[in-house]
Amino acid sequence: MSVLPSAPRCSWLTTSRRVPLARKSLFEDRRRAGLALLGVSGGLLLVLVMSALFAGFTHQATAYFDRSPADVVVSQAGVRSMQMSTSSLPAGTIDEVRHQPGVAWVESLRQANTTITRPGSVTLISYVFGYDVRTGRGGPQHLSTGRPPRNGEIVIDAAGAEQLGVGVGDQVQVFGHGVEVSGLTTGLTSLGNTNAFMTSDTYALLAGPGTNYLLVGASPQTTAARLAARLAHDVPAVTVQSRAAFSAEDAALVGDLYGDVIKTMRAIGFVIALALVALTLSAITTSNLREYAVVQALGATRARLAGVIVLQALWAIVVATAIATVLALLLSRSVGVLAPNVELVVEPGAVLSTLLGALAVGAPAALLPLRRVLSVDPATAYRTSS
Amino acid sequence: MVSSPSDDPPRRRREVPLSRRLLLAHPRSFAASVGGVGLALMLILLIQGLSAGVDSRVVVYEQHSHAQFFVAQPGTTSFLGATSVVPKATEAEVRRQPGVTWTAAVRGFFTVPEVGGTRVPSYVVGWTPGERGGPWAIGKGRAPAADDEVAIGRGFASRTGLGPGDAVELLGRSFEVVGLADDADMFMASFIFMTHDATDTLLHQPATTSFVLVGSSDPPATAAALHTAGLHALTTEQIGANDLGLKGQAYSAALGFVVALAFGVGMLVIALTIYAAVTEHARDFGIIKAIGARPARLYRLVLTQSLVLTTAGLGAGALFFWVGRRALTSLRPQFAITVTAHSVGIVLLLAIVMALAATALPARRLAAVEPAAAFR
Repeated sequence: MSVLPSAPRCSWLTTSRRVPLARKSLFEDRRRAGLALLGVSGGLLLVLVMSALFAGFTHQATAYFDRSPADVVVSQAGVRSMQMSTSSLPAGTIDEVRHQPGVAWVESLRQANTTITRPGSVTLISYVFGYDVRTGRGGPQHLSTGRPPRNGEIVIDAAGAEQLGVGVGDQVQVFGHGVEVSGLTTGLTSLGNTNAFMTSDTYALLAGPGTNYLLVGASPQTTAARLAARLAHDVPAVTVQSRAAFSAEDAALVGDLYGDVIKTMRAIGFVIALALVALTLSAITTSNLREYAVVQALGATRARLAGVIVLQALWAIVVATAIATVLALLLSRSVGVLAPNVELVVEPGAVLSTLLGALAVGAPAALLPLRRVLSVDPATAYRTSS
Repeated sequence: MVSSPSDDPPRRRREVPLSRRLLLAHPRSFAASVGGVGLALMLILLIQGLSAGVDSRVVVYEQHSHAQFFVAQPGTTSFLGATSVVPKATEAEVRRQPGVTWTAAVRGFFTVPEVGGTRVPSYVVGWTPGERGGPWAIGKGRAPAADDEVAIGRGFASRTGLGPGDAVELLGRSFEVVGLADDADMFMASFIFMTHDATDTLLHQPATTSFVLVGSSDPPATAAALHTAGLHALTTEQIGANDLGLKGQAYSAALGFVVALAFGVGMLVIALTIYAAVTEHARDFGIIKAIGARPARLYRLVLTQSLVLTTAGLGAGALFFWVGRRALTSLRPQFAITVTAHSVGIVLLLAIVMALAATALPARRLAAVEPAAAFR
């Protein structure tokens, strides 16, 4: 198919009725365009998926505290997060905190990193929480099915339950003892683990006494930040943070652990996209060299030809980013079916940064075909093809 | 053009190397293609290498423990994946069992100390100095002897700049670093060794421990006796396998997805390159068809290009991997990226499948080229 202008005269060079040369030559061969755009999309999808995996994992890692009604979290001195941490508070800390001004309520929270097993089935790493079911503050804030646990029972996350192959009424083993699943919650299973909840009495019976964290509610007269600052000053033997700060620490730790791997994968995705954009534009330019010569013979300036290449790069990148975004969104919705512990969060900021990154790599990718087009001899147009 | 359209052996030897010429008609495009395939294969190698690296470090404690059994809290199946709490008196009970030659109580737990603004995820091991279960190699300084002393893994030291004589705060208490432990780092966490008594104080659990390591001169008899005594004992192999299994369970889906994506991208690069070559040289292929080349010969042409490109991509991928691995491990020493025969085998297999699958569309395009194209 020719990409020559359809108008009999050269008015297209100067009027708004120009032939969309860049788009036409890019999509001239639909199979080639399909391969190229899928390839570039693949590279950008890799970038987007890495960002989405990271965002998803961060979201999962902070999900428990993001939903907590607490304003302030008290942990052992030197413990600033729950991820990869162990906290054990000295006896008496709860009373010391309870009597501080600005404290509306305080609750003891038990927590351990352990495993949940369905006998004869898989074993899942899990944060198991022991909480006061009368207030429910330390427990799951939402149940998709069933009811809160009684003694000898447990609430587990639905994604974890799916991996274990259990439902409400089934038995699982925690701390080496059988407990019955009384309900399911959602959104608390991550790449690394799942979450489960039992009464503080059951927890103490199975794992021994103690207090791991304190959840603190602020009275209406103060704010979380002020209360955290006051408690940190008045109860110096522990770590006191606002719930938001505690969540931020968990998120930062995820960043420390996986940030470099994610950045490396993203960089590779961008470089793959660069190679594919260069390859695509180069192939299109090569197959349309004679047409470019014709256009040049008809009076097109070098700037106009350069503009065609740049526009092609823009088209390829924008369309590929759109395809990659749609694929990433589809994946984010369907990934749970294949892997219940994986969450992909496609954030608008990540899409924008991917587009900007792709545009940045598209610039050097356009240089190769640009050189070829600018060196075309208009006389080529009058030669027979070889 | 080809000099010989027929397939008889004596003349085929003088065939024009059409595949090579088509691929190298535009060296820069070929380089971009090789780069694209190489990056995709490098990504697969990197994922495999990271996974193998993590695996090789996950069981480092078990490997160095020299124990036959780990006695743990009922329900605990792994060393790193679960918190185990057993009464300290368990050790005396274990020691009484037949075949037991030695026991050692060790406590283990994760923590994330912050040193100069750097968070260092760590696994603390509390053991009794003079007994087994502590650091297996001290490269600098000495093993801790007092309750306010620790030995830190080399990775911890290199990330924080701490060394013997420095102080480090753990769970609100200050410890003196007295030694650097060799080979005591995992993928994301370093080991910290301190006395068992120190961990008792830190966790406010004076009468408990996490595991009792057991050496035995008669493992089958000891295993039976521990079971009869109602103790939850796992062999070192079992506990190591469970740690590996939990790691795999956590990350295999995400890693598999990235590998699949890299595979798809690599395949598309190969397909695009060959497809572009076929399109560009449609007239030449028309001539080849017009002078009698069989479809099998044309498919072989496409397949050869695909294999050549994949082979070159493998070379480039290996080079990129080597550079990437060096850069990543020098910037972030905690990343152990290991090349195993298994990971290389997987990459080779995927590369072959990639090369074969990528020929589908170009082959169809080639089949559609009419001999009459030669005369247009």
